[in-house]
Amino acid sequence: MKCLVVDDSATMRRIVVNALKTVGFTDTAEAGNGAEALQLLDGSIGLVITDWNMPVMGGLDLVKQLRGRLETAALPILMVTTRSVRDDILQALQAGISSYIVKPFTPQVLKEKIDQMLAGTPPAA
Amino acid sequence: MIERTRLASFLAELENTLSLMHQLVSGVRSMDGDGPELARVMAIAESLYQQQPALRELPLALHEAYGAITSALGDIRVSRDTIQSHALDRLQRTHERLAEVTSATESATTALLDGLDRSLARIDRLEQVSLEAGGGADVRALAQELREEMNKLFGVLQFQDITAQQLGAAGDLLSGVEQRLQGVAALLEPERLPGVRPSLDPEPARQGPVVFDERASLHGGQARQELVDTILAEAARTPLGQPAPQVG
Repeated sequence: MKCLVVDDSATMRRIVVNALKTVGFTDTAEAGNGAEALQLLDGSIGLVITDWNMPVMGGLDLVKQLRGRLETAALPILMVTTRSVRDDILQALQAGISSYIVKPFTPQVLKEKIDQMLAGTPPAA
Repeated sequence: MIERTRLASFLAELENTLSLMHQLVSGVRSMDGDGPELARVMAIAESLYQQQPALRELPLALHEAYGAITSALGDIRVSRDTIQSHALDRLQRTHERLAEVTSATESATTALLDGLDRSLARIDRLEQVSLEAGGGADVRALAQELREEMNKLFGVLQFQDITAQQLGAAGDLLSGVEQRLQGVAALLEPERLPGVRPSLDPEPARQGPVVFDERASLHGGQARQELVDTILAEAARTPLGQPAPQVG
């Protein structure tokens, strides 16, 4: 399964790609913002991991766009961001994310969230 | 509220004063040395001062006001120059330093990531060579330990993204202060800042989308993730749009 990593920070994209590699996801693509991500979407992308604050198109708008398209309405989307206040999380859920990770994160947490999303199980406290 | 009668009386008095002043000015203009005209002007002036004693102080008051206004304008120019040379220039230099720090940490992090990638490749190569030379499970175990240590370092480098956001927030704050100061400086001398809108707005207009989280932090990651997980779990049990229970 191919993972699309979306973050305006090139170093952050490398870190996420490396973390994915350590937990078994070696097929990845990268985008610097939501608009670039939409252009890369084809039927091969099985998971989107996106940052929130990005130029051109931020993560929240990307999620809304993906949920508004038939072909990506059910695509697993993981938000990876520094934002961690209640209103932000609820806003992201309202937009349609599947799960949410706070930076800085560990590969173990990343794997746990991906496994939950792919299994279709709701996140546990 | 001024009564009509008092207002009418005030206006009549003012009209009379202005008429006398007009006669006085006309008389002074038409004067040619001493003579009857001078006596006539002096009589008008005396009449005017009797009706409006405070007018005797008018020339001195105007002279003092002129001095005060000139001095205030001088102070305003000094203030505007002070704002420009001390505050705005310093803000610009601080902006540049923040950008320099962000760029330097990004370059250093990229170099470290490159080094880690090369190290991981060498671990793979060492493992392969050792196994070909007869090494066993202990070689694999050691190689895996080294990979885990390298991957931990990858995670540590997330600091660069977080500090870049913190610096972005600081830079945005400085931009706001700079805009406010420019607005004030333009109020003082708009002709010297033609492109700047004179303003005392407390919230200057933001330019472009927000690309940082002003609350970004390196600390308390685990606790924040636990809070996020609690909220996600509660949201999974409560349909969106309905009030969810408050979580700590």
